[in-house]
Amino acid sequence: MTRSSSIVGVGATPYYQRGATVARTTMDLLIEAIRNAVDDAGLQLADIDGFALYSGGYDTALLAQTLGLRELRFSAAITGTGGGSAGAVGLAGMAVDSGAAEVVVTAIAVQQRRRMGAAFSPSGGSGPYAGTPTAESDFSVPSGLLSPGQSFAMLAQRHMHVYGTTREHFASVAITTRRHAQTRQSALMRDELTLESYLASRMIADPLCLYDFCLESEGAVAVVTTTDRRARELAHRPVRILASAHGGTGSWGKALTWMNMPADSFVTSGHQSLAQRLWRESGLSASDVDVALLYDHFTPMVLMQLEDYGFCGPGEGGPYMADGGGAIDGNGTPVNPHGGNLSEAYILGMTHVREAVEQLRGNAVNQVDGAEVALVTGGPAPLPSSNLLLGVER
Amino acid sequence: MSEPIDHVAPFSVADLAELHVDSWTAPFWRATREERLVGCACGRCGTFRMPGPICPVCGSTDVIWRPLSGQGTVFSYTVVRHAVIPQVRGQLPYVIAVIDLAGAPGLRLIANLWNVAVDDLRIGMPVEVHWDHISTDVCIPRFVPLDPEE
Ligand SMILES: [Zn+2]
Repeated sequence: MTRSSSIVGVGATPYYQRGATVARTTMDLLIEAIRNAVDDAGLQLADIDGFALYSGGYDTALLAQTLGLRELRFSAAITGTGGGSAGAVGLAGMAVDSGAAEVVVTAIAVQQRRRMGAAFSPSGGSGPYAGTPTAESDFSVPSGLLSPGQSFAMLAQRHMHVYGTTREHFASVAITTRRHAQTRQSALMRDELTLESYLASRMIADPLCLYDFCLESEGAVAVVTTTDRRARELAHRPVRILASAHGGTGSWGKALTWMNMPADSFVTSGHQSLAQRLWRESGLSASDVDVALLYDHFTPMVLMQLEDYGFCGPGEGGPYMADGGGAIDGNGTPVNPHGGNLSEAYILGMTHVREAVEQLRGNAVNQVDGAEVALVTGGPAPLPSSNLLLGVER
Repeated sequence: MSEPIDHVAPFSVADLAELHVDSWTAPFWRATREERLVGCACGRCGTFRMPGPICPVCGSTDVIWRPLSGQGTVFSYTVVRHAVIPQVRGQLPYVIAVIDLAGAPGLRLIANLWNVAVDDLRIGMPVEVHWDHISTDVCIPRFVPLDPEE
């Protein structure tokens, strides 16, 4: 498929701690981010003619009416949670490439309300992802498997067993990311994180401790995608969509609640086939990536994505990060210079898209010198997950 | 480091063990009530799978429920030390494990490990089923370390 679309606008609300947006509605936050993104592009709200969303989408009817669209031409959403973030922008690109729509918005708003930890709970949970009990969840809930953190802990534990990955390796992800966040004003967590304080923190689901988990935060982020042709007439250097994939192998499926994926997949982020599709479509590889925005809901998943995308070999993610491979001033591809979900804010992955755009425009807070290609991933999760490769006109 | 914990608590919370069976999962839960562990296998090609309407390998909807020995090995695990909902607060810490079931290649069960010390936990440890009768209608399989002497 020939890609001919670019991101031309990015906008956000401020990022807030959990509970801080309680007087506002999700739609209110969403509209603020979309308005900022459209302003950034130099477009009008009425120019929007499509939505490419994820995480269940929003009420398209209300959005279209509220924003004053002249004509809505496209509305679709990738299901799932943060797994669809990067791919939703890819979906916007597909809508534009196909001619279905010309100005497509991808946006997410997050309000925690209740603790995310209650994710799969049948009776105690009413968080944003509270699961309805089903015949399928009968195989996880009665064992007290109630939250994503517990599932990811079991992937991490096996990765440690198979590859000799250590807690210090996980710590290196949290510490590197925190160091990046220290210079970024929008980051919610900017105190220095040391190995000592990491190791002294509360264990949540062994081997994952407090600092292995992303933040619980609130806010909204939106981007605007349009044709390359129109992009060249707008305010900013266009950020081209080079490739994107969403989905994953069927056997990964309900990986995180059933854990029946093949043994060799178990120690991955489930992104191997997604990575192959991205590299095949773009003709590029990990060595061409100048900055990697990897979905960091849990530190071990950053290591596994580094492996799945080929920044290092299988099982080498821990040493790669611990040796400074992901640091902005390190010896590899910088990972999450904005502080990521772990230290900046957890807005279901769209902060990573925002950072990629800023990096490729050359105005990021922690700018990677000469960044021309950025990888963005959606959260390793049950299918579909996703990715996005962005670049500048050379 | 976090406080050392020698033994983990058995996990058994009645209001999390309410079942919502469908026609595909009912045979599994009927068998557990009789303290039998069974695995869902394809009636045509024999592939084990989680219960559901179709074999992902050959597409057959035929199912055979194979009796299993109740033994297995720990494929992975986590020691849960944080209560994500109030109901489990009194149960901490508890172990959730992924169990590779003996005699059912490729089939794994999520289950609690009971009667185990944290220091003894390891991937690959042999375990066997232990029946937790939550109510007259519901029995949840848990696993305990397999005594190598027996
Ligand atoms: Zn079959």
